[in-house]
Amino acid sequence: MEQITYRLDQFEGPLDLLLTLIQKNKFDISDIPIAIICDQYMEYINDAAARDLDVSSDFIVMASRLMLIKSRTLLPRDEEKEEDPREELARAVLEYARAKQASELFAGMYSMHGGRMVKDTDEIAPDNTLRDQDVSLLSRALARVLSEVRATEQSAVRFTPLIKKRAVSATEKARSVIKYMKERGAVPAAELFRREETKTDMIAVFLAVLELLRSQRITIVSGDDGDVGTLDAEALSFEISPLTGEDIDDFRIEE
Amino acid sequence: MTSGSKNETLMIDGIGEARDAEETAELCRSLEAILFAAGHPVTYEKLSAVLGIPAYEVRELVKCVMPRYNAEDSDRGIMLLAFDDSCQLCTKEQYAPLIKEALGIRRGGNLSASSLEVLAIIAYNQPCTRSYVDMVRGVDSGYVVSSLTEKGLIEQRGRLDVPGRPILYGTTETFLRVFGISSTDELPAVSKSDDNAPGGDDAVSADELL
Repeated sequence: MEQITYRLDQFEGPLDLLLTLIQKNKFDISDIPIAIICDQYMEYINDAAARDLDVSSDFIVMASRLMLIKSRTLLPRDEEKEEDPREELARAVLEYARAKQASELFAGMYSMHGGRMVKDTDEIAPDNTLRDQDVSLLSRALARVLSEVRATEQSAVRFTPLIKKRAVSATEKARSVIKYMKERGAVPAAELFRREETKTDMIAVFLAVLELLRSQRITIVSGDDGDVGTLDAEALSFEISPLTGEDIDDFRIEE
Repeated sequence: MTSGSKNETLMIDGIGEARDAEETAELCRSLEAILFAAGHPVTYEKLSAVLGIPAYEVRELVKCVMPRYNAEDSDRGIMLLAFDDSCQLCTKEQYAPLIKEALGIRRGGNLSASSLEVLAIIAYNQPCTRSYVDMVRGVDSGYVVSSLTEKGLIEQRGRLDVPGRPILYGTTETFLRVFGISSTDELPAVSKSDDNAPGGDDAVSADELL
């Protein structure tokens, strides 16, 4: 008794139980002795129910189906015209038998080859550190910025203040850069410089951008083929986007 | 298949330009580097674009270098898998226990009997719907289907054009890899008609059941 109830859990479903019963009795799927199978099936179900086991509704549905077929086979029928009431069931059992057979083959294949492992692409992190840079690249980049901005603002008439040597703070610029980018999101680097008027301001912005990049407050968003590693004048056409949008105010550059 | 000798000059068949040994070796190294870095299968199309040779030559290249990885006497711990549209590097199955120990992977990787059943039904009938799987198994397979999807063994393949537009499922390249085949054409034959098939009926097709 105990063995039987224990075994109901082992079946994948009613079809599995049915198939097992048919195979155990060495019956022909196309000619299932429905009365015998139905009785054996009910034995399993009743047993499981008697032991307070949860008999899933699928098993109950199949039980009623079997009884329906059993009752139909008892009725006289026109052999020529009517379909064997067992045929649909036989088809389902057969289809399941095939799936089960395939799953057994699969188990073998999997145990043989399941150990083939692959890694995630993510395990190789793209190297974002700037390497082998020459300081002259920086001065060239700055020169490029200055000349570009100068070219666009050549015609601008500028008032020359009487008070000379206004102190320009890179920290201030860094804050204004973050603020600016907070409003606009990613911006082309050159745009940041265009807002500035004097060379001193631009240098401060330049320093601020470098510092923000270094502290990872902002990041360079390059195109697909962009060589992030090269901080050449080209790099200035890259979009720069805010990485961490948090407090601008606690940002300090040691000057 | 060519022999796996390492110094052998690789001849890429086909109409493409003749390549000298160094060019070919460079292609092999590039291929290996890309596949290693990718991890996932890389399509021949992509490789063709990156390596600058036609896709059919990429296929030839893969076929040629394969024995160096996969041959019995190869001195590699990784193998090259070629699928219908892509190829991939993976570790050889026999080293799984070592890898697991080295990486501290305790367990996992087992497939339950129900998972294998669902996988088998989908593999042989793909693309097919979950209700078809339910029907063949006679039980609800929703949980198993989602867990197989999570494991990357099956994937969605669009929707069936019937009321409700049910999702169609098919097997993935991960499935092919861990079951040791390179295409679903290589699935083992399952007897179409059992010795006791009912009324000589053919397999019930998905359309019929739906």
